[in-house]
Amino acid sequence: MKNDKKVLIVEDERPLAHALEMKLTSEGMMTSVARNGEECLELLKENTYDVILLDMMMPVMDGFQVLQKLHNSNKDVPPIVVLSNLSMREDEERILALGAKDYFVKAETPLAKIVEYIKNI
Amino acid sequence: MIFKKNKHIHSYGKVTLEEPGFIRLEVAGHSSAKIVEGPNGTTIKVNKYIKYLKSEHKTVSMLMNVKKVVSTDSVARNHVMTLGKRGVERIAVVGVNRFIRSLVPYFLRVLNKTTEIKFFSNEEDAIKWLTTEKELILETQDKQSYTFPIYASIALALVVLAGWMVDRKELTAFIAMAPSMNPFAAILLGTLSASLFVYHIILKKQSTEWIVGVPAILVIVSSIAVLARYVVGFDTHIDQLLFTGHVEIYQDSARIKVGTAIGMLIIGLLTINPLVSIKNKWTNLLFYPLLYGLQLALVLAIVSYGLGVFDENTRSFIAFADAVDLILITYSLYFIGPKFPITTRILKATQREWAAISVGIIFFGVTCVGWQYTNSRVREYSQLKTEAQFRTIQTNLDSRLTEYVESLHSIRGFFYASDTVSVSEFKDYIDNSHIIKNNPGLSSIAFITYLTPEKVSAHEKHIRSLASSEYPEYKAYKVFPLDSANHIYSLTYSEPKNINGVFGYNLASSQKRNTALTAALKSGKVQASGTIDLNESQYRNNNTLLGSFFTVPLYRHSSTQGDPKTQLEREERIYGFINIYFRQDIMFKEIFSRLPREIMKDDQINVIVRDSTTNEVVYTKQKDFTALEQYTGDANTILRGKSEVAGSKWDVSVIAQPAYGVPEGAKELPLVILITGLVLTAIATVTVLGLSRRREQAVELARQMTEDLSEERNAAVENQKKEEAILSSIGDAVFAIDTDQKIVVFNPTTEQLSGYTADEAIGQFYRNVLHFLYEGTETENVDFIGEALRGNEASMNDQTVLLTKDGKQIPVADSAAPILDGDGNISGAIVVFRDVTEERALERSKDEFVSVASHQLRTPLSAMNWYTEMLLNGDAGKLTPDQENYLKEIYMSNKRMTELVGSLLDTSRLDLGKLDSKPDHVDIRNLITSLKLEMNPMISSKQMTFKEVITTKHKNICTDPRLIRMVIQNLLSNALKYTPKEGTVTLKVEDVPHKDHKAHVEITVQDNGYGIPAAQQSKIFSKMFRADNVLEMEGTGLGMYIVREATHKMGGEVTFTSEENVGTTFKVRIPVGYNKAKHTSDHRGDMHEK
Repeated sequence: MKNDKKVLIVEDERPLAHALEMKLTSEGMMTSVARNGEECLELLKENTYDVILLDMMMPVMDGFQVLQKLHNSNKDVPPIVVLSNLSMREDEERILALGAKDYFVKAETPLAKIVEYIKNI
Repeated sequence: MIFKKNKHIHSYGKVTLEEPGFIRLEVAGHSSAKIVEGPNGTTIKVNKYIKYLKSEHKTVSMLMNVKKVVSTDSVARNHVMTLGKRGVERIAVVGVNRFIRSLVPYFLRVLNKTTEIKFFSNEEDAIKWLTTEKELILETQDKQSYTFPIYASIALALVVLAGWMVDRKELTAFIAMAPSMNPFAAILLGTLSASLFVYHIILKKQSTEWIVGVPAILVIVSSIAVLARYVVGFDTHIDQLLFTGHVEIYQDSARIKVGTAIGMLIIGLLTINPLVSIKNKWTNLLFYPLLYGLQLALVLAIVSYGLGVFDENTRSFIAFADAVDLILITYSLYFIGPKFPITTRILKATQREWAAISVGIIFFGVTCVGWQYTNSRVREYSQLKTEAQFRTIQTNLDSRLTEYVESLHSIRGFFYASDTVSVSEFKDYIDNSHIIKNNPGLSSIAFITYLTPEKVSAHEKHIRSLASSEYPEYKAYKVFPLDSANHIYSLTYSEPKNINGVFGYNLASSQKRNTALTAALKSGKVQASGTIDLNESQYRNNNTLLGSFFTVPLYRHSSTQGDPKTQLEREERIYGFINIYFRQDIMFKEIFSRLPREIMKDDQINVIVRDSTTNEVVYTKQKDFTALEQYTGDANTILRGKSEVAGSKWDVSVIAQPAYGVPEGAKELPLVILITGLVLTAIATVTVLGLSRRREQAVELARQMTEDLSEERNAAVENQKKEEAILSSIGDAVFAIDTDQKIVVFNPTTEQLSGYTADEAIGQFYRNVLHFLYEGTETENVDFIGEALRGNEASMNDQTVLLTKDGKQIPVADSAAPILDGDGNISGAIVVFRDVTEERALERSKDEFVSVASHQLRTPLSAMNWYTEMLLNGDAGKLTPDQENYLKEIYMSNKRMTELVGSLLDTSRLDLGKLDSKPDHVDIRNLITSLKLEMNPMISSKQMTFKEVITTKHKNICTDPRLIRMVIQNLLSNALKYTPKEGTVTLKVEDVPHKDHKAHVEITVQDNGYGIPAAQQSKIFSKMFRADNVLEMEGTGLGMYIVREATHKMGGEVTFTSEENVGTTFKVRIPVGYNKAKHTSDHRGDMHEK
């Protein structure tokens, strides 16, 4: 179990991104933050990550589009854990269908759970 | 069926007059236009207008413009019926659609073919047809009306002519003015009537009324003539022109004739009365009673004729004929005179049965002719036979008398042979010649001496000298009585003697005897005495013995000088007479005894012989039959003849009863013919009547059936209209197809949605018109309709769109259902669908709202969660106990808030149907473990005991993972929440007996908590329910609602038992579907497992 995982946080909500960044960093992980899907894809072009924490509802390019693009690309994509407040079954199904490793409802998931999950990847 | 979206259907009917002369009728809906709008705003009833046009001899035409679908054809039919009955001759129909076309049969039937009807697509053509080429149309009804009189007239004319030919004047009585008119008049009458009728038909210039008028005038003239003849006398000139001379046949019928004539005169006047338009009150008062009286007379005449009430055939003939004539006149009057219900009814019946009546009359006529003909032949035969008998009798009588005379001549010859004949010689001669024996009835032969008064004494002396033993009478021979006469005829000798009086009797003293002898003396010829009493000279005998004698004078020297030539010479030479006496009774008896035996025995015939001179009856065959001779009726044959021999004159009468001498059988022939004929008449009439009735019944039946059908149709149309109205008013699109998938119903909404009109769509294969596609594809969705046609109700796929005529795609939803006929067979399918564009939009917006809400609410919640979590975790430095406690409160409240949002979202989604069951395999044990982990913090914080009893044999159950999770989570959360610290919560998962052949599991969550107050138990599944006893505690009030809704979505059911402060037990029973296809684990569960 490595604790120095490189995590890309894709989150438009600054407080949430900050909270995740703080928590993961405090756990010894390396984090990058993308404010939207485009930034996420930009970062992915130049960097490699161990995990992507992906939000869905974002401006410019949302999480679905990111998943779609990554799903369609031939590149190796790190495991994507979707952190979203969308809890509709259709959303969940779609997210999983597009290759996300897992899906968590942010409001119902403690940070500790997320950290533990990432650690276990 | 057409469903037109037509909001303007209303009842409408407008009638206007158009120049030149037709009625424009515009109809729509249930209209009944009866008023014509004339020029200048005047109004007149259609009825009157038609009447007016007819009185002007104009063709009544109508333009029927059907503006809108006449809602039921029965309305239009009624229009046409009413107008047709009023005499509209032409109807042009514009605005034809199929409803109207379906009326054609009605039109034709109702209008009785006299009304022409044509359909036009535009008014111009219709008006053109209406206003031009108005050729005359003969009214069929009139034709029919005259059918019976014509047939009856022909039948009567036949009877009359037949009667004329067989010379039976009774038969000619069939014509009006019965006993008097001759066939010539009958033929004249018939020809005139027929000519006028033909003239009327061909040229149509004359009113039909004159067909009646001519006979009426003839009736009047003839009746006046009859009356004139009666007043003036029977042999006026007009008789020869108009009447036959058979008046003597009806010697006693003069009264009848006058009565008939007066009646005829009245009828003639009445008949002609309406013709000159004097339809006055008195016509009704006088004519109709008379009419009914005469119709009654007809019935009585026929009945009495049948019963043989009349002893004279002719009278019943007359009565019958008069009555038939009256019927004819009545019949004619029916068409021109005022109409009364009873007359109308009677005459309609006659008209309806004219065929039967005509057949009856013809049969009856033929029967009468046959009867009368055979009757006349029988009479003829009888007369011939009687005549033959008469001749025989006459001949016999003549020859008998002649024989007497012959005998007399031979005796004279004997006397002439010698100048003196002695008594004995005379006696010998008589004896030897057998004269008496050979001539029956001859009683004696006598010698009479001619004397003058001066010679009497010498003669007496001489005769007395001849007295002998053989003739002792001569001793006292004396001529007696002697009167002043200058000649004396003394009976000198008679053989046999003493029969015809005493010798010496002076025959001159008896007038008849004297006359005969004197006549013989003077003429020298044989003379007859006429009837005398042979006993007259025998004083001692007072019995009358009728007889007669022939006498012949004896002259002297006749053998040498010949018979004297002059009277003077005869008187000179006369010396005596030979008399032959005979008894009439014996003579006639002998004569008739020589006739055929059957005549003598037959009491059908009588013979009466009279002495012509005295007219005394000298002989009757049957003594009590004399009265017959006096009878002047024509029933008996009476023959009279005279016989005269030697001045003896006899009248011979032979009276025979009718049909005398006709062989049995032949005698009954006329009666047999009459009865047979009447029976045949009855049979023929009844048969024809039956046939026509049957035909009528068939026609009536057909009419009724048509009516029923049309009623049914009307009812069906009514229903259809209702359905149409319902379907039109439905906002949903409705269309129906038959089993051939052809569209039969296409309602306005369907028209709107599809862009096709009903006219375009109906009858088309539905897939050529309505394209239902799976959304986002080009594939047609035909499954749901196919399913409906197989008899199952079916729904469209949610993502179905309708491709409209102009290529748009409209999202639609709904269902198809089979149409079953009365027998439960599938006769098509009905599809109801609606435009769900707006629904979809609304749904989307709701979806969006839910998504946004969940997202937007949860985002700050997440931040609060995470930061509180980090603070509590000491990530921002160590906290004081107070700080930590406060942060925990924040954290828990936030968690509640999160849960609340989750519950609200769940509720919303359940309500929106977004949480429909999507069965998947759910490992129930994993699920419970996962949930238990989630609940752990609460369990531990409240020091609860959590018991888990999982006995189900199913590893996986097939149900919706999210729903079952929701259910168990809520139940557990509830139980933990509403159970005090250190309480116990038990979760059981057990198999339960199969229900409806499906496996079920039962999830039980039991606590020993606060329980639900009994009064509130019924409400626990409602939204926002919170039990009174736990109001202080946290809770959303949505948990149980979610449990119940989710359970129902999974096809399960939830029950509970609860007691306040004892605990609550919830039991959720859900079906376990077996499906080993795929296994998807609970994702969140997975996470915790790892």
